Amino acid sequence: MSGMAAVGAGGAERPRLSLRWREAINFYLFLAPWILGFLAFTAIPIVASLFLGFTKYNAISPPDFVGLKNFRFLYDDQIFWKSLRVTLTYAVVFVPLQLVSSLLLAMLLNLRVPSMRTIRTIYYLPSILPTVVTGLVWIWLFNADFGLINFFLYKAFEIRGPNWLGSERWVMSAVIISGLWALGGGVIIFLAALQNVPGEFYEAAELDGANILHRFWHVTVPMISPVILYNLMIAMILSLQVFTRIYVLTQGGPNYASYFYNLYVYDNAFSYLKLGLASAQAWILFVLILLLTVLALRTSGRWVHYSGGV
Amino acid sequence: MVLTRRRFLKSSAVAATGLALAACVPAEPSVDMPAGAGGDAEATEITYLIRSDIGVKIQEWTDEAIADFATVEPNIAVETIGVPWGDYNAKLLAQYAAGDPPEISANYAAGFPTFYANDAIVALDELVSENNVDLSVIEQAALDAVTRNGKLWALPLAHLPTIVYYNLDVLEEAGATVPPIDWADTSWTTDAMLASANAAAQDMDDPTKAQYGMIFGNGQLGVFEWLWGADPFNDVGGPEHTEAYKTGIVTESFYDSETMNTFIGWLYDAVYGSSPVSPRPSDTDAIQQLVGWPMMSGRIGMAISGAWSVTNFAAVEPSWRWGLGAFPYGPAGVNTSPLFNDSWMLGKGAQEQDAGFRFLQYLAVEKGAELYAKITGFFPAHKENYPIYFDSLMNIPNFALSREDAETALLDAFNYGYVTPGKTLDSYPEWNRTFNQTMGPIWNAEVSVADGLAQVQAQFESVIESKS
Repeated sequence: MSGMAAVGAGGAERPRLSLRWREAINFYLFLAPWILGFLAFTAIPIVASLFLGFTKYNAISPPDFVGLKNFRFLYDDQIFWKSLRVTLTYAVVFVPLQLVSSLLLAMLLNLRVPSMRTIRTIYYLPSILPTVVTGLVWIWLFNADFGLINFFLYKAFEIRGPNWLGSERWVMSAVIISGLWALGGGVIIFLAALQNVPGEFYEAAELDGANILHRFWHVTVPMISPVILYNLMIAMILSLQVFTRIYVLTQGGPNYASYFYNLYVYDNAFSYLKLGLASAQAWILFVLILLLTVLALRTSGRWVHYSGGV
Repeated sequence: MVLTRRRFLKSSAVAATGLALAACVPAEPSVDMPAGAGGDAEATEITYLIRSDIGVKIQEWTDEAIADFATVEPNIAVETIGVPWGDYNAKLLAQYAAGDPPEISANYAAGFPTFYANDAIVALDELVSENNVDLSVIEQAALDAVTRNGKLWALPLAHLPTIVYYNLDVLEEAGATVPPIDWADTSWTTDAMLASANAAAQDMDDPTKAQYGMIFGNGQLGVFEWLWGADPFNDVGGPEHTEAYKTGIVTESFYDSETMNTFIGWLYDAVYGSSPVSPRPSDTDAIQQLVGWPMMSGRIGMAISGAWSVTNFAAVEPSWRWGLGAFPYGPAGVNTSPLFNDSWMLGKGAQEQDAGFRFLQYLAVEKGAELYAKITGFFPAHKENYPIYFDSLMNIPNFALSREDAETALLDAFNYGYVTPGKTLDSYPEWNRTFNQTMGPIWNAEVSVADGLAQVQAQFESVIESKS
């Protein structure tokens, strides 16, 4: 017998809530930690940053409303445009490279060979290593005089390698190469998608005379196209927000050649005490990412195949 | 009551919500309370933001000073927050933004001028007067460095000139001139230093074996130009003519001047000229990754650095003999040494101003300063603690100078110094970033010195304009 029902006859019985109400209360109670966390650490800061984008704010004094001044300043700011150009250049080169490399690697890891589980684990390892640590390793690898990359270039091809991180011309290549090293996240998603492609599709295609390239292009790609879209959007968003690796590798140099957008946001916010300006920058990036994401989704109808026909 | 699954889940949800709410409430600080001081009076708690990345010695000093302070002032409890240099500003700003700045912070990162310019620190004159603090024990030049508009805005603990360090074994073996301790010795010039570096340099074609003659550097924002009789922020002469060092506000720059071209050209030739004596940036990076400050590799004849670099010798205890000497005279006939100071500030808006100042007083002029001189290896601003510092210095293995000579080399420096821009200019990190970014192509030999400096000047003009 429940405690509620056991209340003595003389006492006033506590009114029972209807099942619908009890379920609603339980529902919100279970959601409350997440909602509180979301409000405190995401929603309110986002709204606050939008407000701060229209102010002059250094965190020490109260924000001073300046209207569109921050946005006008950024429009005239050479470093802003340079950092945007650096970031977009990186994204344009890096995202396709990452997608293709991840897919190729996933296909290799999808082969049935002995010890494949171990090989998969090894390929995923770089993704779980701290970026700061791998960044320091890359600094060594890219060193013009002592680095393993230039050593290899010289020993194998007698090429004197460039000053990867010290040259305006080469630094972006170095940043892209160091980024391609940790493909694990994308690979694992592609691998899961590849394993979900029904084998009979390939058998049917083979019976129809399709060679390996045809099977890849007409079976694999359409079947995993939703995952390609997902990986494309994630890679695009992350490449526009890259920060830690650059902070460790180059600090944005030389001469702003690797001065990524988020590095400038960070500098404005925490080095230069211009939190209002940094907030405005953050919102510009947000809008840019939103537009690119919408664009990717809008065009996805032409090339993404959903098996349910959605 | 029976613990059903539903009850368990519901209780868990309530507990999780409670925890989430509790996490939003400022935590009770973990305070260092004196042994046996608990009980009657409730302790006033103050927050002290320290740098966590300048070696174990600073942490050791902090711990000892706080433990000792607790015996002196049992009713003031000090909560320390340790953050590395790169995060110091961010943490400090976050605390200001939350309306809860630390009582005490140091002038790292953005530094004293920026916090002064933003009205974020407290003028200490009244507190000094009310508490009868005797400031005559502190080096006057160090106090001047944190005085603005006739008011004192921080209390210095360290006062550090720029000096020349040398590897005596390397120089003696090469028959090279050893930097003198006498700052008035006008025979010790940049040319003499270069000649000495030339004698010491060996195997410069092979970075794996090279022994470099010297690492000179350009000083903060290129102020080693002072030796050439000019300054990046005026077109008249040395730093004494620069208004920005007094106001903190940069309104003009002269990076494309003839003098700056000559100075940077001289440095460039030391790396890329026909008789190179200095490592290329990529070589410096490699050595730095191996041993920290390149001088400690044992492959450098001489290196210019601030007096804080003594701490490297204390930590590494080199097997080779080493010494320190005067800054060389430049072509302009001056040997103006950039002076650094590490000063501690009282945050405006911090809740416990009196207790905060009491701790600041303890750190700067009482036992805290004594411990600082004894433990950290940083040259103290407190004059009465000089003997303690020199005792420590003489204990570092293979230090080649007598105590008397070491005193001359370090103390005379202050008569030839001028405060470095990092301790005088508002928004220094922004100027520093601008300078370092735009100088990169020159140091990596991608552009000529003249073209590179023209770019530096253009970028500085752009930032100056944006600030106006």
